[in-house]
Amino acid sequence: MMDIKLEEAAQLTTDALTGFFTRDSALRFFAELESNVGLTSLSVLAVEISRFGNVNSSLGSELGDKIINTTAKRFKKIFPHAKGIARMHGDQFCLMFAGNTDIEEEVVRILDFAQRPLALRGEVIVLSVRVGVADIRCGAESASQLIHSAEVALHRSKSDRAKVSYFDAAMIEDARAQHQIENDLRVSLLTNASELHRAITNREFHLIYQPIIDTSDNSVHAFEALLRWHHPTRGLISPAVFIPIAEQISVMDVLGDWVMRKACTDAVTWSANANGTYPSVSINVSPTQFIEGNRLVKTVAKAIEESGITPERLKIEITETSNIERSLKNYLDQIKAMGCKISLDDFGTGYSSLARLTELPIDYVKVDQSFSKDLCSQDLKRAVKAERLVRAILAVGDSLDITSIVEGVETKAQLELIQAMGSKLIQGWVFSKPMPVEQINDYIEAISQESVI
Amino acid sequence: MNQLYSMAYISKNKIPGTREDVKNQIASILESAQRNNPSLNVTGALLYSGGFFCQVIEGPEDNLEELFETIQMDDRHGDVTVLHFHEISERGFSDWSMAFAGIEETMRFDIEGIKKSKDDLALLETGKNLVAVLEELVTQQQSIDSQ
Repeated sequence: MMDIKLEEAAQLTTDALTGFFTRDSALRFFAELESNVGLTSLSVLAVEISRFGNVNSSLGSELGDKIINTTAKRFKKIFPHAKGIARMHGDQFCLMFAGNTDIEEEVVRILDFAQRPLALRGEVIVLSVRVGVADIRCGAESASQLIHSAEVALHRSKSDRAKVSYFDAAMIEDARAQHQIENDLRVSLLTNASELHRAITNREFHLIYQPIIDTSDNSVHAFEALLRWHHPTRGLISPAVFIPIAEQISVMDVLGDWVMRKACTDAVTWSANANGTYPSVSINVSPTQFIEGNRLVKTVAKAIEESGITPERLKIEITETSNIERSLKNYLDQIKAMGCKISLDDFGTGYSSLARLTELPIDYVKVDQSFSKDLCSQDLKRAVKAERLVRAILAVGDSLDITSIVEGVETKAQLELIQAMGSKLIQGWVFSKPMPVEQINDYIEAISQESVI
Repeated sequence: MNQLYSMAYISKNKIPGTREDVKNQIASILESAQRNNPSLNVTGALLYSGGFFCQVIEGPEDNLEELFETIQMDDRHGDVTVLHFHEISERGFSDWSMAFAGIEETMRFDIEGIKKSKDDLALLETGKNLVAVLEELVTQQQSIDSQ
């Protein structure tokens, strides 16, 4: 199907599964093509199957291979005019065009055909693909740069959560900075599953816990588990950096499983409050974990079973997002049915409508710290505005019969104000920064002996 | 491995036109199905309903996979929704390489609604309905033809 006039092309290596060029061959082939037809007529699409790791792990690698193979056959069929097609690695392809190509039209075709359902081995699979585009307009100076540019654009489409991204030069700088971090992650998380397990066993990942205090009797209502990664060479990496990447490269499920099990195992070692209750453990769940919601439900059940934790002590924290699957409610219902509690994080900053709130089985909302941080600010205007907002948010929670937790409380003045507003569950530095699990029992004992503020 | 499977799907006609155009198009689809399906050991039925193709195909799994890929890559339709794809113990349309159940003016299934709600059970239910409707229509068609 490929118009291979180039003598060398015959000797280039191909991928066994698809018959396409490997990455190396693609670069050589395209360089050869450049010298034959000139750089200006070339254009490249880098295509990736989104979340293919999930597909592979839930359906098995045999079916995964079949999906790659069938998708490759579709590419051949719909792009008979492509000069070359390469399988760059696992789930990433590269389509190379020369001459008069309407690249926008090619993008439309790939989004259409690659996302039509696949029916294989009794399963119906609908893939989602992302596309990065580069052509003469992007200012590349060589064919290999053009391919690289398409890959950078593809990468950008991931962080922008867009289907298609056209290369522009500003992407290079951003990409460089992120590249190193991401490469480390890819290497340590993606190359093989045991790398991730090793990172976990090596305790590169660990959990720390920040208390949520019930100020009515100074008991610990819960500890929120926070994931940290201490990289052997780069030191502490912020979750704000590695979690979005873990989500993008589809390892959040595996990491999330570990967090769930570890936090539950930790929680059963905690002692009781002075009032006889045991602190709950609050565990953040990424929206991407709901894509494989059945897996999440199983993980929760397994974590409860293995640790022996009373399910009522387990709180699942979800965040507001606009595009959560319809099935979210179903999964939350299943988790609730086990006895667990559901908490909505970052309340007020996201997209949830009130109607949505009443639909979901939510027990707690957490008032985002962006609201509490301005309470009692020196800047009176800000302070007044923050106070009004927090009052309004608390009132919403009240009227829906959902208990509010205010997070990000740093000063005693803020604490008193929030208590005066009628909210008794409070989290923030005013009580404690996150702590390692070893300090928890001492903390529970110490706080019960403090006088109620 | 090569167990008997059934698949039901609904797809949107991308080249609608006059009633005559649609008729011609269906004729060509039926013709190629009736030509190719026997060698694949595939049977099935087709209904055209309000701009949508509603089709059931049944046969050995491998062949069904292959046929479905061919159908999928056809430019004349798009927006394919698979209602079901599962094992069956016997065929519903064993006498037909591709039975034609007719052309209807208005869409009989609420496919847009189901797709929006992403409700798997509703899809399966619609799949069941589609098979039942097709069986009924094909039987009717058969008795008209034999009169």
